[in-house]
Amino acid sequence: MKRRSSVTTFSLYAVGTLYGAAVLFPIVWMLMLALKSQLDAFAYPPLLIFEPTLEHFSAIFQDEEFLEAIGNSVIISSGSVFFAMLFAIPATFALTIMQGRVRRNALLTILLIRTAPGMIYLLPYFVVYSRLGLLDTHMALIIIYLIFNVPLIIWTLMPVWSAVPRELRESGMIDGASLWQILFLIELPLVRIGIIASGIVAFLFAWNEFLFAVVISANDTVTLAVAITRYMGYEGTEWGKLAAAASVMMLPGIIFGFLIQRYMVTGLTAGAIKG
Amino acid sequence: MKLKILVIILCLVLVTGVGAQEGDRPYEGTTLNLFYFPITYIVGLEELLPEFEEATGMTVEFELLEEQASVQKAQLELASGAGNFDVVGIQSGNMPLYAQGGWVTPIEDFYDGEYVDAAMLNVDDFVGSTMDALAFGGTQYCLPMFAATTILYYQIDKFEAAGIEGPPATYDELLAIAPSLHSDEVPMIALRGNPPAAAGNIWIFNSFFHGEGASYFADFPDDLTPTVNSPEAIRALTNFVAVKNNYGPEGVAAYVYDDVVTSMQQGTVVMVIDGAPLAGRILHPDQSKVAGNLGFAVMPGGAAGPKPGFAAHGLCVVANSDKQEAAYKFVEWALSFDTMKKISLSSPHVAVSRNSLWEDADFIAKYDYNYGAGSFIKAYQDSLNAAPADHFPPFAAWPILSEIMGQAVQEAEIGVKTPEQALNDANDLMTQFLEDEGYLP
Repeated sequence: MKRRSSVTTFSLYAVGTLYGAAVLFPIVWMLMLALKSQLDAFAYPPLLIFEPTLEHFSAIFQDEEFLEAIGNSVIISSGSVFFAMLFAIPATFALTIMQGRVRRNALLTILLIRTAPGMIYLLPYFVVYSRLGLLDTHMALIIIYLIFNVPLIIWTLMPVWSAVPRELRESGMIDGASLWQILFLIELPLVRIGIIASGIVAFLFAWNEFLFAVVISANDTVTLAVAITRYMGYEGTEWGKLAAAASVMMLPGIIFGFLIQRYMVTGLTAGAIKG
Repeated sequence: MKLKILVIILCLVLVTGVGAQEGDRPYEGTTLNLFYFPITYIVGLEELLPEFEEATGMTVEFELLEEQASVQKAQLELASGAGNFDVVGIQSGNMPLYAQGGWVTPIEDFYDGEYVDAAMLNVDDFVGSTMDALAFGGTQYCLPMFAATTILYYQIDKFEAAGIEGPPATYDELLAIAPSLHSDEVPMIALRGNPPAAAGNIWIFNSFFHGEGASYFADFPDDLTPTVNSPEAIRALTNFVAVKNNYGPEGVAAYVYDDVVTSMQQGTVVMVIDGAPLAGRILHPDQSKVAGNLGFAVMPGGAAGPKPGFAAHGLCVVANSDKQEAAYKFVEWALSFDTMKKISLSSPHVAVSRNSLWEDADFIAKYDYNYGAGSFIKAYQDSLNAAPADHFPPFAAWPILSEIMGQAVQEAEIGVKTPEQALNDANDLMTQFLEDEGYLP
């Protein structure tokens, strides 16, 4: 029995290590590329030991368009999360109260909206925006991202919100609280960590999104995901700058990833009811 | 009294000064939007913009995206008539699509305008083949900024070590010298392998194809029956596959141009056939291990002689732009001799499209690389002269056909099909497509 346990443990570690290596390999490779000179970057056999250079990072941080793109990405991603929350929080609250077929159909519809291919929305939005003069505005992308982020937040929040004991709501109602008071004063504080986690997921979606950004944005609102393609020139890709820019673009994902991990393992409603 | 006179004089100066400024700068305050991908010439133009903006009072904003994304976005923008751009770049292969779609204003419509600076335009100075590539149905739609062709790059010392006197002139010669040049450590040749979507294999394969005398159609444009499975075409693909599979590096079937350039820069292959405009990168002292050891030549040919690749890039005025004249004035400046010369001297842009620049002393001084095996500029010009203007057939459906052909070439290369099978299937697919689209009865 003990031997089997060791084998199992070893196997789990082996699989975990292999999986970790597979996930980390491209990231490590990209960081190495960002730190190598152009000549070292594609030396054969590949150089694992090399003299690192910060020339590519220095170059991208002197590139005004790259810096503007970071600003645009922050505005658009934050804006899309803010407005998505305005719709998604009341919607999730309502869906946790609702019962029966209407609730199920509503959830299914929301899921279908989220899972539909982006191309379905692209052309109609492009034509409408072009008529309204909304192309190349921050709001244009923020509105489009609501299509994806509202369902994403609702579906991510649902399990968290469902774990809030019904008794809390009922106690509030007995004490005469309105639904809005129950939402803002009782339940929202309990699911705040879930809101942060779903907000981070939604932020990362908008941060990484390319299809809509490449078509809807232009000079004034180019996002980071689009801006880094400028390093893919016709006569050749500037691999060092591309890798450096991609490394910068990955930072929110890495930072928020750790945060989400922490929140996801926290007991969200532990000790909510006492006495 | 003196004060009054002074005020009057000042007013006169101001009024006449403003008047003169308005006369010189009729497009003052106009903002133009240009869209393309970051080809060296466009990047160079962006750096010179302050000069143009200062002279005209216009503002020009550039939106540049990676090539494939740029092509798709441009077509979406132009087809929908969104009107966000005034000037667009174009690859010659897309000229029929843009012309038939009515997306761009014929540039020749501007030639007689009173706003034209004839010396700056100097339309007769453009390389003829590049002008032809940006015309359609006898109408000149766009003006060229970039004249691309393919050449053979080779490591001189490897040839000398193998006792080979000069570059191969035919595919038979190429295959004959291959065993003495090839080794597992340094394979003989790298050629693009990925299908066209990633700037791929058709750019190179079409030279093998035309070099054997093969043709895409029975009698273009009168008879569009595909003929890509002719004996000449099969011979071309057989040679292409033999060269790459026997004498190319591992994984060459998936190579894109960046892989080819990198292989040559690193000296991990003896030779490559690829774009002459890439010489700037291949020979860049900070990026290349073979700078100083390269020879340049017209690529080999088959039964029909050498047929290097040919492509032009140009600038066009967008048809639904409401700033047509201003857009034209920008194109005129952007492609003038002075602007082109400045860009070619300050960047690696060698693919200039003006004849006078090819003869310019400063230009020659910068680009006449010669490491003991012949002049780069001569190889470039000889290749341009030998390159057929229809390297990519001037046909609106060409992008689809090139995808079909690109897949067929790669299928043969990786051994899924024989060259004959791959081309028979490609011929059937093209026929079906052309029938469905009404090009064939």
